[in-house]
Amino acid sequence: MKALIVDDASLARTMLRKLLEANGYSEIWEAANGEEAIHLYEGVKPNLVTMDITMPGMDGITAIKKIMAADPAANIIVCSALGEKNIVLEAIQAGAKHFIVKPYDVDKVVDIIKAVSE
Amino acid sequence: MTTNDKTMDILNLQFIGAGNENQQMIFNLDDEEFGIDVLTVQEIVRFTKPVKVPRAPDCVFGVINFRGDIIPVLDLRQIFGLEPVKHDEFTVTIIVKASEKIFGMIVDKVSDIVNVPEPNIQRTEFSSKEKTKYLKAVGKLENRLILMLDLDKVVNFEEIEEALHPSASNSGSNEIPAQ
Amino acid sequence: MSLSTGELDESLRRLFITETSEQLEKFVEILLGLEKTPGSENEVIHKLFRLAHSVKGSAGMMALKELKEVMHQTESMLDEVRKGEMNLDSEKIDLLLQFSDVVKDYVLREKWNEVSVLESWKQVFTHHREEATQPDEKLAISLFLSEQEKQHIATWQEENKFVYGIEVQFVAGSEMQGASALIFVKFMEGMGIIFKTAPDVNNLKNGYFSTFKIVLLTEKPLTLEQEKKITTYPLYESSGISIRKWVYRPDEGAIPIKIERQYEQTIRVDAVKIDKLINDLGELLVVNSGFNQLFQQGYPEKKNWDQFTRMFQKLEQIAGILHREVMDLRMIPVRQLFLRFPKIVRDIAKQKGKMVELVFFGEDTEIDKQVAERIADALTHLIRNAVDHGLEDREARAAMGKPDYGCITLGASQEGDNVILTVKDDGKGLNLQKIREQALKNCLIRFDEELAEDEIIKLIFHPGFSTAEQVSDISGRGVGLDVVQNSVKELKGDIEVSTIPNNGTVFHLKVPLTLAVVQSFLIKISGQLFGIPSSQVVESLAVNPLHFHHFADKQLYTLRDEAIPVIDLHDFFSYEKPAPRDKTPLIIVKYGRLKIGLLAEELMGQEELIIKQINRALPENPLISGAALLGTGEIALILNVHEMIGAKGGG
Repeated sequence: MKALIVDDASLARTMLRKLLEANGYSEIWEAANGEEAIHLYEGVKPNLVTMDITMPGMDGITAIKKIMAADPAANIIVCSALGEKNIVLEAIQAGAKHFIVKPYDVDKVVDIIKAVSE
Repeated sequence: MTTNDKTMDILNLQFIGAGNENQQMIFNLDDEEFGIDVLTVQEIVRFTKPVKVPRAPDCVFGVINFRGDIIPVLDLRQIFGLEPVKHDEFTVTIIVKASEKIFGMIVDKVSDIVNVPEPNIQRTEFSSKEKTKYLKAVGKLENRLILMLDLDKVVNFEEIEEALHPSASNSGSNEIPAQ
Repeated sequence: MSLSTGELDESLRRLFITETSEQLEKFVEILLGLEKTPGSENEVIHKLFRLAHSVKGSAGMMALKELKEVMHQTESMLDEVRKGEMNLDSEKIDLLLQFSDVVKDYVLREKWNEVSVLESWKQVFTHHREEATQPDEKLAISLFLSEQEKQHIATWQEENKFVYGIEVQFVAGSEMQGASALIFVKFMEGMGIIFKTAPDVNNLKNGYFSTFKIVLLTEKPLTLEQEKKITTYPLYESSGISIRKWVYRPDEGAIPIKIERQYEQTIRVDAVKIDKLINDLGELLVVNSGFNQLFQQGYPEKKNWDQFTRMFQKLEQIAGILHREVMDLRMIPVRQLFLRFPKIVRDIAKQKGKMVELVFFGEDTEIDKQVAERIADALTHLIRNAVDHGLEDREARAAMGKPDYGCITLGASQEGDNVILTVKDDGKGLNLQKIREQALKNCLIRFDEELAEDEIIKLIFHPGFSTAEQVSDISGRGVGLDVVQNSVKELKGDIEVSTIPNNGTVFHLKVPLTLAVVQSFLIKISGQLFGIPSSQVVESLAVNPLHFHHFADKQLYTLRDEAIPVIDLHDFFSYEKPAPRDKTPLIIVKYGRLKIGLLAEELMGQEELIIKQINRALPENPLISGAALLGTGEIALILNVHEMIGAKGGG
């Protein structure tokens, strides 16, 4: 299975990569902003996307909307920080399947990856 | 009367506890021991005189009220061609279920519940004319011979009538003549 | 601002004091009730609110400013509870109770000038209200269903589909529960129809809530796997997800109870039944045209008599089938009868401070509408008893390691011509020893009487048993069970009770599937009872057999110039004949234009009989159309007059 991690912070990407690898994702791609993410999504067609919200360049919400428009079946988990609840709600309304909150609680993230991957 | 009731209680308790496949409830007609599959027995009740049903088959003693249902009671002695006897304190009605029918059978007394091991059961074809046609097997238990009853045949009244009164047949069809 | 006693009009003051203290007592009473049964009902909160409101109003009229203000605070607090913005937990109930005492004291002792206490309570309330509306304290939003929504759910369940209540609990101080709830709704959309949520899906952004509730409608029951998926669905800030199947749980106010109308006016009929009926009506038409043909050839003569008789038999057969089928139309699923019980159980459980779960089985079992009506009260009685006396209180249950929730099972199953209705509780069981003692006290039994277990149990149905005082406390089961027995007896049914100490009690009511009540003449022939449907009887006379005319092998009785053939039923059945008497009952019955007199031994009168099929183990007997159980337990066979006339009147 293929996954695409979108985050501008490399530490966050590495952590998610490890978790995804441990949960059945063999091919993992990384993007640092929205544009890259959309580009990669088209080429890779990943089974799962984790999408950070605040990033330089195109933000996560816009990227989610564009990806969803291109592929309504896209499987996107939005990554947020505590307190960003209105943005998360917007992301969910835009089509995100679930959300995870930083700092990441590993167990929770794994559970959510599993639930969304089904 | 009370002793009889106690016996009844004990008997009922015994058969509630029973469940083994070859367990037979033993009852007596004259000196013969008959067995029926314990699982077919619904209850053993004190003998109450059944209400006669006019023009019913001879083997039907009458009907009784069993828990709000009106069920027929068979006279096994009649079926087996035995002389009628006077009913005494041992006479009981065994309520059984066979061929999806519930009915009672009046027997001289219920004596035992036994387990007849499979090897001791002899399933021979019984002659269709004799009274043995209502048996399905004979069980041997030490020096006792247990006649194991085939209730499905017992409750098949048409055949019984036929056997008792071979002439009584041809009872006119109910169809409208072809037009 | 306060009043001195002197300024107060005496009578007004008296009125104010009595009225207000009464209202405060009522206030306290309701609070105490709430404490016993948490999970405050809107209606109850509203009552509290109204009471606070009227105390406030009177205080205003009496110009007791401080009392008015503090009552205003109370009122506002209750209003928030009423709107679901605040939870009336035990702490707040406690607070309100203390406050009521203070106000009562203030009013009764006429401490009109000691306002500082009231002032301090004002602060307490303000503090609590602020705390309650702090973002940190999330509020459980109750799920209220409109009448229309309830109706919708009821209909859904009636269609044998399923309704689930799913509840997500959020941890205190949660931040993202709006997003979590929305995610969850999206996930749940894959499980069925999201009928309603609380808070509403469109309202998740604002406001805080500690629970999120979903009413889910499904066509099929959720599988265990699905249930597990739901309850373990990963959500931020959730402390647990619970799922519960709604089976007419009145706690949620799910089911409107409109039984009466359903009973009184219409019966829904299965289309299959109608099809069958139409089919057999077709048969009837065939017979009809057969008769037409026959009559076109002229009136029946000897030569076509046989044909005529056979067609008559066919006609009878069809009439019988049609009769059964039309009776069958009256059959309703017992569900309609059961619908009333959730509310009854809930009410009495509330009243007794017990937690009760009502479980149904066999709701699809069909029963005659009339039987259902006539057994409803008995069932109600048994269910009330089961909750009231059968189930232990919560403490006792806890002490025995039983679940808090007492379980009452109400079910139905068909057994031959009967329906068995089951009322079962998992309570303490009957105390046979105490029943015996009570029966002794009421002189129902002698002290040396030896009784078997079932005989002791039977005592609870004795009319003399229920009149005893405090039966309920003593027997563990309550009053008026003779009523139950009577209605079952009237239906010619049967009750069976079994009980296991600390395990519960089961009542099985066996009632006839259908009520074929037939007004009948009861007669005796050679000591045996028989019934003749009254509709077939023209009249009954007392005659002297010596006045019969004899013609060939027949006897004739002349009644108003009409010669009526007489059958002596004793001869007919080959029963023993009684000695001739000058006043022997003769029942004149008719079959079409044919009349015939039946000579009996004795005429017992007329009675409403419930005709039962003689158990099908018996071969068909044309002379007997069924049997009836009399109140005495005796059996009366029902004579098939048509057949008898046919047998006799052929020649």
